[in-house]
Amino acid sequence: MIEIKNLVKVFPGNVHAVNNLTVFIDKGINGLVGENGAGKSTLLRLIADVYQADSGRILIDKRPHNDLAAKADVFFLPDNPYSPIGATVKQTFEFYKMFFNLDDKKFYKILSKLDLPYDRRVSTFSKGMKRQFFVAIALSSNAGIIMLDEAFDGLDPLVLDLIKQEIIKNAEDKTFIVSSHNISQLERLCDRFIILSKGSCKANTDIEHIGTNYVKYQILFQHKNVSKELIESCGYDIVSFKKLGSIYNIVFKEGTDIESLKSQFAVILCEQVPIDPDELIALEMLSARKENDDDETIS
Amino acid sequence: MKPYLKYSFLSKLPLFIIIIAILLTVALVQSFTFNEFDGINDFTVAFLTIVCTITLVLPLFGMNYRYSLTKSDIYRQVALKDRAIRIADNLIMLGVLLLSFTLTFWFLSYIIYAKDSMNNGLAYKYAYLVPEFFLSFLGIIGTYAFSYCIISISNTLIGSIILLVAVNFLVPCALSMLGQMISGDHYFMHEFTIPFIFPHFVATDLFGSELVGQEYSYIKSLFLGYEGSGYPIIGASAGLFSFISMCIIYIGVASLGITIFFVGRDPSAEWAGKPATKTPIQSILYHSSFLAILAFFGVMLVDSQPLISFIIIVLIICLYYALFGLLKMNFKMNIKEFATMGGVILGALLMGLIVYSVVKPSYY
Repeated sequence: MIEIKNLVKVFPGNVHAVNNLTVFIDKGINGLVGENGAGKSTLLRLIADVYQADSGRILIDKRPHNDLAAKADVFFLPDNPYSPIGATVKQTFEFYKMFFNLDDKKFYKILSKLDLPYDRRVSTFSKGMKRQFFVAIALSSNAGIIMLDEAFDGLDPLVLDLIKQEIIKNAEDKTFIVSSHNISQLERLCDRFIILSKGSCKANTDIEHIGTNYVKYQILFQHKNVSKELIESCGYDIVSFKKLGSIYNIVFKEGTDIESLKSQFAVILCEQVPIDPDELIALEMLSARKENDDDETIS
Repeated sequence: MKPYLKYSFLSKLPLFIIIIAILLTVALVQSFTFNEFDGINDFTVAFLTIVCTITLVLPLFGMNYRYSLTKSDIYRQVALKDRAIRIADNLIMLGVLLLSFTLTFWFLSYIIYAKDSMNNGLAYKYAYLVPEFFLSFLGIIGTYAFSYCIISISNTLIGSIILLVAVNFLVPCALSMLGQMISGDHYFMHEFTIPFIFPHFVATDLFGSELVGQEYSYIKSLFLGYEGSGYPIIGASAGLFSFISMCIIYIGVASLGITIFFVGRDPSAEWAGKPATKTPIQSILYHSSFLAILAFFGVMLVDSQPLISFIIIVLIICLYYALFGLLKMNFKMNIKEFATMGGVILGALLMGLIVYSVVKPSYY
């Protein structure tokens, strides 16, 4: 388990990449989501002791994260991993093996599933192939905590599915943290989601508990020019507002008085529809962004 | 730790061959062009330049992950203390450098000895090669540590290079002025050492059976009073001063470098791939180096060449502004910075003039 308390990381130029972050990361597959610049990569680098925090603390199984034993139990795959110049797949794996506890058998098994040649130079690989190769290295790690930063970028759906299966297979008794700004990539993979926004944790919950305070309606208004601003001006709290043809898909905060909205705006059709898990996470991110904007306006 | 040491050593092995190849090539080219009467020629300077540059630049290779985020990501997460990585990397790099130097030095010495014994029968004073070697050896360690200090302080590649050049220009200037003041010697080392301070050794002439060097000359000056063979005449007092001052400097910078090896945390990852926007020590050193150079030429203003000095000062200010702009990728000078800089320039010039009026070195 990773315990992070009041973590702060400020980069030169007063950029608060991680802002008083407190979060507990449990065993299992954790999705780390957030917009670009939310602080996902910085957080992973802080946990991996690549960056040094300005304040706060990180404990890995009750030990400080920079304790050598704790560090040995962490494998971090950055978004742009290093490969020695001109090294083949095999040589690069050997290079990583010098520093990390990797399992040869597991690596070559995953490599054969991904159909990657082990005698080819990594530099000649396409972006997607490089990703596959480095994810294979990460999955062959015997570390208890494996962190993958934007590891699924550039993967085709078939490979993505295969890799997800491998992660699920390897996740027993391990902590996986998979970061992505693209929620659909984490679909049917993560047990829990940590939503970051501007360096702070906005939500840390399992998929069943995400978005329980939102309700989504498909609405057909009699008038065609109903806008988000108009509805909001009547005191309704809108989280998401989309118009597809004449049908409106609106997500409200739980407890919104729909009956009064129906009477106020001459609604022809109003039906509650379920929200997809992906959409729920997106809604949480949207809500976090809105909260931040509100905070900035107030300050 | 063991795998890391193995990797670090193997990755630096090609450098060993490259350094030896460079040193031997330069020694050979130099031997073809060696001028017995002038003693020192362009290739001698080139040889010194190459040796000094190699020594100064190597810490950049020793810490090569410092300027790359992709490399930092892997090296910094390895379950080793960053201090251990830093020390291991630098010691291995220094070892490679010293081994290359030792082999080249004694190989060249042996060739000259063999040729000499065939012709004149050991006319050359080979005993002096031992202190020459050890002083150069110490010089290399000092230079490496000095370079490492600068790189540690500056945080960025461009900053490191600028500081290395600036400080290497500045220190010999100050040292030669001081030495000249103390010894009163007119013909002093600064003519050859202004751009580079450490280590000045092995100007070879394989065909003429000569192996000379600055430290060698100093040592001989200590015993014989002067030495004219292939090198400028250096008085005993100047030789003594040079020898002692170089020893002090080598030991001083080596101590400072070793302290930095062991103290503090390496901020490489934080800076990797990012522009240095907030480095006060670097800025201070950067400004100070240029200002001190300015002060040096400022002192010359009151001498017989005011026009040339004035042009040099203007050129230095332009260079300073251009480099500062490039470093920050912003050519708009901050008013506060500019005012501070102006104040320090005036202060430095004033101090230079006071020192000049008190000491009045005869050389200028």
